[in-house]
Amino acid sequence: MSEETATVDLDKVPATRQQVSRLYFAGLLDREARLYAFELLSPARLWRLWASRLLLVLGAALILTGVVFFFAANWNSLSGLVKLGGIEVGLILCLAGVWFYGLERLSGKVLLLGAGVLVGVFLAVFGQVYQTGADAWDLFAQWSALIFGWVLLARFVPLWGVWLVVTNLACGLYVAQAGFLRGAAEINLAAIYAVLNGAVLVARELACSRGVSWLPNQWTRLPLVLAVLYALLIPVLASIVDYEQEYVFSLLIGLAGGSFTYWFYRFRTRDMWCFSAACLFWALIVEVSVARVVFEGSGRGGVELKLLFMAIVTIGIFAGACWHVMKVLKEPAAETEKTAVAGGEKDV
Amino acid sequence: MSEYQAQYTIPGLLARLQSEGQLADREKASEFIRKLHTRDDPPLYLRALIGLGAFISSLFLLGFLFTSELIDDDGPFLVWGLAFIAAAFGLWKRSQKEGDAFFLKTFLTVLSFTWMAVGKTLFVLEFSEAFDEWGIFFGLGLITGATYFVYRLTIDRFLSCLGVCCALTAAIIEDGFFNRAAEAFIPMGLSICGLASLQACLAAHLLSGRVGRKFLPMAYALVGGLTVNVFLLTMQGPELEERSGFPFVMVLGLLLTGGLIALMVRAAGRRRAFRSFRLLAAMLATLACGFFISPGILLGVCLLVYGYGHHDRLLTAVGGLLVPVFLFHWYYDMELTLTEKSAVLVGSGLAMVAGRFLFCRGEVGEEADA
Repeated sequence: MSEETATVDLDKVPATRQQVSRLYFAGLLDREARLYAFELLSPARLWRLWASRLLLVLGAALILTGVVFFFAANWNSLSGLVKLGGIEVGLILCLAGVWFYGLERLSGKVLLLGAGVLVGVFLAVFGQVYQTGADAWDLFAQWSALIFGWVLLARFVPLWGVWLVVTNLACGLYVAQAGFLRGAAEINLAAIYAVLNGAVLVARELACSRGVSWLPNQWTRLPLVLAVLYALLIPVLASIVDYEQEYVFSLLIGLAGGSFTYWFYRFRTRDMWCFSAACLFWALIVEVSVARVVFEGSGRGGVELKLLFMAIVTIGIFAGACWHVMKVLKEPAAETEKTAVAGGEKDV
Repeated sequence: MSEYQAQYTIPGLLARLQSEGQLADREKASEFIRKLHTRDDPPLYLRALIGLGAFISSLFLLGFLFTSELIDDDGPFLVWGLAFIAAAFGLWKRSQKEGDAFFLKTFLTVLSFTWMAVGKTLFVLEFSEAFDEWGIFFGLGLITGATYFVYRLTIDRFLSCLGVCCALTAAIIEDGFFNRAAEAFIPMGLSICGLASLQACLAAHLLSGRVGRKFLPMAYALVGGLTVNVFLLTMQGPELEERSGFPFVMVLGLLLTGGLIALMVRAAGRRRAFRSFRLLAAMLATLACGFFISPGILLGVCLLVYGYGHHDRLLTAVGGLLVPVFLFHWYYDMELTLTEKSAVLVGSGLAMVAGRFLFCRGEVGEEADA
């Protein structure tokens, strides 16, 4: 836990600019060698590549936002033809761009992302112009269904992100507007979100285990895992604090999902960030359970003793969680060798 | 990010340098790096767990101390604070004697950090009772300075330094941005701009590799403090400008633009940067942006560039989060109609795409798009 821990294998330590500078300031490299190492670590060619992609992504995001703002701002002053025609022209131009560049190039993927967003704008405008009377969830559900094919074809994480947000909105709005979850049963919405996003997470892991090359970066996994665990945690904590009959379905999903996440990222595809998140999930459940027993129980002792007891228990729970994570971190690789082709943890 | 970065391990880089005749003693260099890493920190996820556990338990412990009336509104905070800090230090020393595999070590570490947090809180309370906002800054600064080099828990170093940075900002603002005479606006706004510049320079120095790794938590805390200052001035700046007539936001924006241009020059190989027409044009465009773009966006881009250039994922991620947040705020805050805003959005998006095509024209154009 302190700065002193075991020696690391240098073959697993990535070289960075800071380390080169440390060698230079320690007198182990001269000025020329330092500059040469900098050039090796961050060649001008890769700087330009990175900057160009940053500009493309930011530029595309701003243009799409501007288009959405334009239609929102000029709603009343635009004729139906201009509204629908303008969006359709944009959509066709985006798709023509996709055809021109192809889906192997970033420009093509970004244009398809633009087309995906414009489909949603088109549906919103269509609903307003023709007063279809459709509910908001209907719009998002159609949007999600219509772009799903492109999402599969594009192999582009931001487009998956847009699709996931739209689909989550469709689910949430459906539950709110259809009204089949009322009162205490509303807690089940969290379980629905958990199942939906969990299904995407499972699909991602399956794809990674089959060697899909565009998915393995950890940043495509961790946000999903955190979102799923958060959605699983809400009904479990609500059940601990104030259980009602309607919670049973979500409670079971929460506990099963938390257990599966723990098992999966410990034994199947080792990822210490996700595994730690699963440990935190269980630590919070134990913490809240103990707190409920302590503060609501009729045991002897004033509130000050309960607070002291909870302070000690909390230290114990989190120390246990940290110790367990450290233990797993040091487990021999053979036990967790089933790490997916490229999606696994690297700091073993 | 990996596809945009050259992937070298330490042995790989040293071997390459040696084969090119740039490194005389590879073994010595390897040993130097190995020594740096034998004192390596636990991973970030473990530190986060320790921090969260200690935070929750310290709240319970403080609650206990106050409800049991061992401490009341009159203290004695200083005695209790120093006692907890001393005990935390003793516990931490004791924990070092245990092997990493033992639960006791982890338990003692979390307990020690909890007591350190409680001790520092009580210590600072004594000063805040006596000297208000400046008291918090001096109290926290004093205790952080006293414990930084002896209590080597990274998360404590980071949080304490972040606390000092935030306390200094709070002390400058004192009773709020606008509860003061009009003539006091300018010194306060300029102080925040100056503090932000100082924090940026100090963080860059501490991250440069000139000083030991023990200063890294301080460097990240300075980045956190800088972000807080930029956030505050971005949010309150327009009203402050209106009341004082001084363009604080632009001043901060230009300071950050200077930093961004310095990063660009550094990335392009210092003097070589001035020989490239494209880079000169990019620098001029950046300078122009400094006059009107939100300082928060510029800070986000600075962190993205610095993080990318230094293979620092944490700073890259923070920069990546700051850019959309401040972009949203910047456009939301513009005093324009929605139609004008949409035109500005599309225009700036087109400018970026155009910049990209100019930037990538020629040798990397195809590759950048691939």
